[in-house]
Amino acid sequence: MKSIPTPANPRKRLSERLAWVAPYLYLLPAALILLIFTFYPLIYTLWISFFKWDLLQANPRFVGLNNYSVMIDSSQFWNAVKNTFIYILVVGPLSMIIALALALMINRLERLRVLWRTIYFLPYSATIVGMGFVWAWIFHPQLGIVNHVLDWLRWPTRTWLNDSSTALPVLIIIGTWQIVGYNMVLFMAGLSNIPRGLYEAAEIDGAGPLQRFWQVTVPMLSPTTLLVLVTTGIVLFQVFDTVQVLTGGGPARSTEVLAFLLWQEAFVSFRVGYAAALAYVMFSIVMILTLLQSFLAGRKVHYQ
Amino acid sequence: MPRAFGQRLSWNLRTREILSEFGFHLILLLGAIFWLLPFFWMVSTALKPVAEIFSPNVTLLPVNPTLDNYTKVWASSPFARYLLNSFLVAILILVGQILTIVPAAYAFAKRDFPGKKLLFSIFLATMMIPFHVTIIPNYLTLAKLGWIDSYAGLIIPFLTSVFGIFLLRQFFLSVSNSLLDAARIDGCSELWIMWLVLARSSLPALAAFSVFSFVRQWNLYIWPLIIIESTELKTVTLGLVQFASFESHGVENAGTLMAASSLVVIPIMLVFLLAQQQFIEGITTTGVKG
Repeated sequence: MKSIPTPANPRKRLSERLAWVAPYLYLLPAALILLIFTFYPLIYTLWISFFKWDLLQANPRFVGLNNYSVMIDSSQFWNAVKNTFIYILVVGPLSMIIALALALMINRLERLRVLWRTIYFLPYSATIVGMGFVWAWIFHPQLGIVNHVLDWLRWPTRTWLNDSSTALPVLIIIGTWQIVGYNMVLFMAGLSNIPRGLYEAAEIDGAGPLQRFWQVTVPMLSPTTLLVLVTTGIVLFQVFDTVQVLTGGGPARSTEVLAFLLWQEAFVSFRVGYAAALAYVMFSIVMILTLLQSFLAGRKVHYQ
Repeated sequence: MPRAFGQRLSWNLRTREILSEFGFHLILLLGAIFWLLPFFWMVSTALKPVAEIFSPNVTLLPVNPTLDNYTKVWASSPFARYLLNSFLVAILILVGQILTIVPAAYAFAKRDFPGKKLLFSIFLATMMIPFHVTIIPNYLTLAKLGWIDSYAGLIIPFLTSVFGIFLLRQFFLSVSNSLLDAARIDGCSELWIMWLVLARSSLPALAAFSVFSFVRQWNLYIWPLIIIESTELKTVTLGLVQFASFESHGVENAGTLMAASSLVVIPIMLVFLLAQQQFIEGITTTGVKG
């Protein structure tokens, strides 16, 4: 009989043989959560979007692309697209310009930098549901401080959130107020990464402050600008809290945005299939934005 | 002549610098007044008696400050419960997240294994998926598990954070391998190295992540809105909205609504102010809106 050579320490041998598994085990808890609550929903949403499914009725019925064609024919959908893009196209550039101006000023200060940074960043961490009620009170039709000031200046007052021509602008003000601080700290980080030598060289070449801004700051800051642009776009695209709490999409659908429409279809009207199709359209738009970013980042952005 | 000229030039430069510094402070101050106005107005209104809120003569500060609005809020709705719920949920989520992100960040930063690059990009890609896209299936999953209207439903979907993994990995990468090898020679196990060498040397990153995660959970609205029904499970955002709708949006309740809002906002402001350095550094390190 041939004897099998036994290892001196079988337990150690086993653990060594299984050592390659360890890194995967370390990833497992996080991966499981992502799998169940992010990846699976991503695919399942697509699947649901091919069904007519009212949560109140039991049986989903396969309808192919019908939800998407209903969506394309729906004026409510296009209205939400319009409102969402107005919101993004105003809040995005506005908040970036204010943020850049703040970052340029604060970065040049010798004192109190942390104080200013903290003040302007404060709204980003404040509970927007709570601050939304405060803004609604500030813009209150009868007793709001804004109308008091307008009255005092003898300018016409408005009913703000109750007026379909001013409700979206009020949400735009709130959104800008909230996101500026976030963009500001990203710009501050980007600005402090620009080597001082470039400014000195430009100054020796006789460039004035404006020229230095356009020829040094703007190109050197472009990676940061792109990052801010895309992250801001993605966040603004999902605006929901202020709409749901303050206007409910109204008056006359003037503040109905895509995320709100999605929530309303899924959890108020229970048209789950249609809501899933909406979700997929939102997802596709975000994907396009993201791919655009990596495309631009690879080509046009100026690195050192 | 050159010397005097040089002195004058530098003096002029210095004056210009001081003037521009002063000008910037002035602009920033004016902007800050507008930026802080909502916070100020919230607290000021919350401390005003009803008569002053109705009065046509608006005053910036309450003439006869009172805590009436706060006692009314406290008496008419379970705000203590809402605050406790939000605190518990945010803390439990944070603990769970740390337990899942530290091992994952360790694997991505300090171990080599087949498929590492691919897995890491898959993890990162999830940050691009808007939360809204996942809410319908997640609702259905929770319904199947019987977790609708429960603490489990509020907590379990959030038990990991790719933002956190990314942030920690950046820090872990900067910890020298010789430190880890020294610990291995001393006979430390990998788990020991992960938690007591790496995680401990990355406490600033963990602190940054903790504040970030806590603030995010405290402020979260859409998820509790979808899955929570019972009053005793409501978080602060949901409780506040319920309070507002019960009280109707009527003018007579502006004082109590501002008091209730401040009960939600002020705790998280304090958390942020205590840890704003870490919070902001966490964001600028990764450039990600968690």
